Amino acid sequence: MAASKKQTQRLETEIEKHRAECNWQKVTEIAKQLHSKGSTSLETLTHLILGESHLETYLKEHPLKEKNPDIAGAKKTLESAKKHLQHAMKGEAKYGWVQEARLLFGKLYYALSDYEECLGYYAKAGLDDLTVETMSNRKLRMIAEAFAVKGMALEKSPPKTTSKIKIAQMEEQIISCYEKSGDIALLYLQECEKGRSSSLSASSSSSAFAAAPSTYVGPLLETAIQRAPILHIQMGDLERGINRFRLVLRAVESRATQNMRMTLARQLAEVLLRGVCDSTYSPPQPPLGPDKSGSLSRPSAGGVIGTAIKVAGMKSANLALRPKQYIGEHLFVPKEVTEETLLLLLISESLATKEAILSRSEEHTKSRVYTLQNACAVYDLLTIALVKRAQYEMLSESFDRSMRFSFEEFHLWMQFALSLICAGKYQRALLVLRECHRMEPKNALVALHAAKLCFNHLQRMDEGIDWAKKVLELGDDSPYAHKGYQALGIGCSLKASEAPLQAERQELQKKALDAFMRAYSLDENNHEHLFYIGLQYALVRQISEAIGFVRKSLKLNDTHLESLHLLALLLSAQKKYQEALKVIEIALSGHPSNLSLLFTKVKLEEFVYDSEEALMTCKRMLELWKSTHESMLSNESSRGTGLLERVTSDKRSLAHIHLVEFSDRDSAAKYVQNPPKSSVHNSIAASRVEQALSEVASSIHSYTPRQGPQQAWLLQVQIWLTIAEIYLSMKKPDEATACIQEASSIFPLSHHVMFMRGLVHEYKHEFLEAKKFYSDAVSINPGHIKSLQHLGVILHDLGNSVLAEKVLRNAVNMDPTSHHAWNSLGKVLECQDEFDSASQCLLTAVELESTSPIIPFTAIPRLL
Amino acid sequence: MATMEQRMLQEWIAECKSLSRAELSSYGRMLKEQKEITEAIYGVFQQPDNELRDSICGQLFEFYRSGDSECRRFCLQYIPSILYYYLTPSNKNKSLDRLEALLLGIYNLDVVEVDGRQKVKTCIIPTLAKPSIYHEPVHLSSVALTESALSSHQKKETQLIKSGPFPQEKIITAQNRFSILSHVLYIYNTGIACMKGTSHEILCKMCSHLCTTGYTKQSLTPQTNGSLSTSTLSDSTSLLTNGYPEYQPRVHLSPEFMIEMLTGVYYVMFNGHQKSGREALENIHYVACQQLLSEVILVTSAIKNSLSSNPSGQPADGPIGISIALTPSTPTFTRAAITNASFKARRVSRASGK
Repeated sequence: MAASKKQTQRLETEIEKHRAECNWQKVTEIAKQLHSKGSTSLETLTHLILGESHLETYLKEHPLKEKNPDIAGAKKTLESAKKHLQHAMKGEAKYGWVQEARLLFGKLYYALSDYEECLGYYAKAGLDDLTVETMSNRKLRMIAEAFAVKGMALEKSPPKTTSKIKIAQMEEQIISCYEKSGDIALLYLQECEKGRSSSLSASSSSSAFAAAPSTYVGPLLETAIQRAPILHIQMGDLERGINRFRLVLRAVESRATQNMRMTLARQLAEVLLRGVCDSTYSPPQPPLGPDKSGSLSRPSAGGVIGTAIKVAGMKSANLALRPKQYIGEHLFVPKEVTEETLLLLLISESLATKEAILSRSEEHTKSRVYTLQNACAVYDLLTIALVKRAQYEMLSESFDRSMRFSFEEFHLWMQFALSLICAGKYQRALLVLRECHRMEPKNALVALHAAKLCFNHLQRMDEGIDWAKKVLELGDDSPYAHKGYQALGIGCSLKASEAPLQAERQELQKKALDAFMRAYSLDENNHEHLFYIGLQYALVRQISEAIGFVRKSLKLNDTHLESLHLLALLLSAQKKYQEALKVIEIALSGHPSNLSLLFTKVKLEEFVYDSEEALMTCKRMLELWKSTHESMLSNESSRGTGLLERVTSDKRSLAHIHLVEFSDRDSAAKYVQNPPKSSVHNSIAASRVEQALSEVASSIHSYTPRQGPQQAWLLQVQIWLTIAEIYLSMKKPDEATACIQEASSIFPLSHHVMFMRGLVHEYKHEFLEAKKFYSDAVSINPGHIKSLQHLGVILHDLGNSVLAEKVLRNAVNMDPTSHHAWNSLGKVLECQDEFDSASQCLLTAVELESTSPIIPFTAIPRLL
Repeated sequence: MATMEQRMLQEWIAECKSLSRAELSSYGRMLKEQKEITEAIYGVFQQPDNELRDSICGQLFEFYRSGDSECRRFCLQYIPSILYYYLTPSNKNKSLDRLEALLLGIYNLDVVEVDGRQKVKTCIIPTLAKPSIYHEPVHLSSVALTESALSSHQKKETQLIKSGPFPQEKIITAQNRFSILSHVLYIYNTGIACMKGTSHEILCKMCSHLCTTGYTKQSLTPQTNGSLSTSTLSDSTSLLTNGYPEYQPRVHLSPEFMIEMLTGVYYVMFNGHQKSGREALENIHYVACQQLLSEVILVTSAIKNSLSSNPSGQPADGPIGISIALTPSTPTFTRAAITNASFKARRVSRASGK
C-alpha cells in the first residue's frame, strides 16, 4: 500500500510537471493509464486532467478570439471535456480541484461564446478573492488565464446600464482583470524559468540550455498583458497606459517573454513617439532599493506607479502575486522622452535581430517574413527617433546589423544607404547603392543618390555620368528625368574642367549645356536649372547669355546664394565692378558670414576702392573664422576624438557651418578643391599630394599638423594668403611675408603657400628663389596655372626662353581661358621673334581679358 | 461679419494691453476658454491682409514673454498659421516685420536660460551595455562586434547628444532663416500634445502647402515608388496655383526644417488627423525626393513603410495606432530555422567542439 501511495505521489508530480509545461499529449497518456487502471483515489484528478487536456488541445488549435465562428463544432468537440470536468466537480472537494474545474469551465464556456455562464463560473470559483498560498506553476497559469478570460468575457458582455459611471466602472474592472492576469502570468513565467535553470544547473553546458524548451506564453496571456495598457490608452488615460507598459517591461525577463518584450518595448516606444511630447512626458520612477519591499521592489507610494497598486487590489496578500522587477542602484533610468524611446528601441532591436531567421528555405518563409517585418518595424521607429536627433552614425550601425537578414529587402538596403550618406560614409554608401540598384534597376532615386555621391563627395565623374544616364534611360516621363539631366550636366561640366584636350573639353561643355537645357525644359519652375545654364554659359565666356539666365534664376529664388555670386562674377567680367560689388553686398546681407562671398568682395574692393578697404574686409573674415571655428577647434584639442561626430550631433550648428564655410548645401570638400583664388586645375590629386607631404614632413620635422577638420584650417590659410597678396600690391613685402609665414605654419607644403612665396621673391627681384618656389608649387600641383605662368615669366627673365615657352604653352593648354598665360606666352614669343604667333597669343589674351571675371567662375561649386 | 470679428479682436487687444504683467499670467487660464477669440485669430492669419495682424503678433509675443505656461501655449498654437503666412511666397512683399519679430523673439527667448546663459540641452544615448530598469546586459549582448560597440565599452562616460548653444540672433537673414524657423517649430513640437485640433490641422495644411506650391500638377502625379492612395494635392494648393502653376515660386525649405515638420506631422496623424497627416507626409516625401535630401527621405520612407506594411499599428487603429501583436501560435516555429542568434551559437559551439 505504501508503495502504491508512493507511486501515486510520483504520478501526481509527473502530471503536475507536464501540466506546467502544457504538454497535453503526455498528460492525456498518463490520465488514460490511470483511467484504465481504475484507481479510485485519483478518479477526480483523472477526470479533471482529461477534461483539461481536451479543452487545452482544442484551444491550441482554436485560440480564443473575438467570437468563436463555429460554436456548434466547438460544442461537439468539447462535449467530452465538459463531461470529464463535470465528473471532477462531483468529486471530493479537497486539493482545490473543484476550484480548478470551475476555472476550466469558465474557459470552456468562453470558447462556446457563453459569456454569462463563463463569468458565473468565475464568480463561483471566487476568482477575485483567491488567497495566496504556495501555488504550483500550473495553478498560477490557470489563474492568470482565468483573469484574462474574465476580462475578455466582460468586454463581450453588453453593458447593462447606460449610466456613464457604471460603464466606467465596468471598464475599470476589465482593465483590472487584465492587469492581474498579466502580473500573475509574468510571475508564472519567472517561476518556470527558475525551475528550469535549477534543474539545468547540473548539466551546465550552454547548448543544453539553448535546447531546453521555453515555456509557451500563449495568445491568451499575451493578449491580457498587451490589452491592459492599450485599454488605458483607449479610455484616454495615456499616462496610466504608459505606466502599465513600464510595469510589465520592468519585470525581470524570462526566456519565454523575449518575443513579447520585443513587441511591448516597441509598442511603448510607439506610444512615446506618437502620443507624448516633451512637455507632457513624465519619466519613469527610479527603482527603490531591495530593502524596502523585499523581492517585490514595489515603490510603496508615488504617483506614477501608484495606479498599479490600486489595481492590484486592496488585499495585501495579493501583492505576492507580482512579478519580480529589475532592481539595483546603478540602473539607468531614462529622464527624457528621447532617452526612454531610444532605450526601448535598442532593446527591441536587439531582440528582433536575434530572432530574425536567416534560413531562406521554403518551409521557413512565413516565419522569416514575420521576424523580418518585426525587425523592420523597429528599424523604422529607430530611424524616426534618431534622425530627429541627427544621430546618423548610430543609425547606420544599426542598419549594418540588419544586413545579415535583409537579403533582397530593398527598403532596408535603401535606408542603410541613406543613413550611410548622412553619416558621411560615402564610399560605403555607394557600394550599398549599387546593390540597391541591382534590386530595383528602375528606381531613379537610387541612381540619383549614387550620382550625387560620385560628384559631390567621391570625385568619380565618369561613374556619376553613368548613373545619370541610367536615370535618363527611364524616359522623360519619369518625375526625376529633369534631375537626371541636371546630374548629367554637372558631370559633363566637371569633367570638362579636368579634361586635358581642347576638343574633348569643348564637346563636354556643349553636352553639359544641352543637358541643363533639357532639365530646364522639363522643370521650368526650378531655379537650379536656370542657374546651371547661366554657369555653363559663364564657363564658356558667353557673358550676356549667362547674365540673362542668372537673372531668371534669381527671379525664382531671390536668395539663391550661388546665383547671386555668379551674377557678381559675371558683372565683374563685364568690368562693371561697382555693380558687382553691389550684388555682393546684397548677397552678404542675406548670408553675412559667407566666406566665399567675402573672398570675392575683397577682390572687388581692391579694384573699386583701395587696398585698405580690402584689408578691412579681410580682418572681418579672420574674425568670422575665429568665431565660427575656434570654439569648435579648442573643444577638439581638449577632447581628442570624434569632433565630426559632435559637430554632426548638433544638426543646427552643422547647417550653420555649412553655410558659413562652404556656401553650398552639403559639400565639405568642394570648397577646398575650388578655393576662389585657385585656377581651374586645382585638382584633387594636388590636395592629396599636399596631405601626403605633410605626413612625411610631420614624421621628419617637428611640424605637427593642426587638429580639427582640414577644411577649416585651409580656409584660414586662404585668408592669410589673400591678405599677403593685398600687402604685396601695396608694396609691403615684409607684411606679406609675415602673412605667408602664418599660413605656412598651418600648411607648410601647400602649393598656394609656395606660390605666394614665389610672388614675394619675384617682387623683390630675387628670381632664382622665385623660380625655386614656383617649380615647387608646380611639382605639388602640376595644374596650378598661376604658378606655371609666373614660372614661365621668371624663366624668360632668367634667359631660358625655350623652357619658358614650353611651360607657358603647357599653361594655356590646361586652361585656355587664362589671359595672363596667353599674354606671357605672347611676350615670350615676341622676344623669340616669332611675331605672328606672338600677336595671335596677345590677341587671344586681349579677347579673353574682356570676358574674364575677377575670380574664376569655377569658384562656384557645381553640386547635385 | 468680418467687421464684427474685427471689432471683437480690437476690443480684446485693448483689454490685453490694459493688463499688467502680473495680471497677464493669471489671464492665461482664461485664454483657453475664449474660443471665439481663438478662432478669430486663426482667421487673421488666413487672410492675405488684415490690419490687426501686426498688433496681434505683438500681443502674442507679450503672452509668450510673460513666461506663464498657458500664455505661452496660447501663443504657440498659432505657430503653424504664422509659418504658413510667413513662408507663403505671395506674402513676401508684405510687411512681415512684426511677424519676424515675433518668431525671432520666440527663438531668442528659448536659446537662453532665465539668467541669460546660453542654453545647452543634453540627452544621454542609452547603451545596452549597462543595465537599465528595462533590461540586463547579459540577456541582450549585441550580435555584431562593431568598432563602435567596442569603443562604447571602453568609454566610461556616457555618450551625450548635445543641442546648443545656439547664437542669439538680431535679424532674420536668408542664412539663418531656417535654423530659426526650425527651432521655433521644434518649440512647437515639444508642446504639440497640448495643442488643439485646429492647430494640428493647420500644421498639416502648412506642410502640404509649403511642399506643393510651385510644383506643377503633372510633376506631382506620377510616382515611381510607393502608391499614392491619398490625393497628393491639397485643396488649398490647387486653389492657390489657380491654373498658373509656373508663376508660383517654390518655397525652399531646409532639411532640418522638414524634419521638424515630419516630427509634428507624425504626431498629428496618430492623433485624429489621419488624412491630412498622410497627405502632408506624401507631399514632404515628394519634395525631399526631388531635392535628394537623404535625411528627410530616411524619415519619410520609414514612416511610409511603417504605415504600409508591418506590425506597427495604423493611425486608424484607435489612439496612437497600437494594436495587439501576438506571437504566431506555434511555439516551436523558430526551433528548426537558423536565426541570427542561433547562427552565432552554432558557430561558437562548432568552434569550441573542434
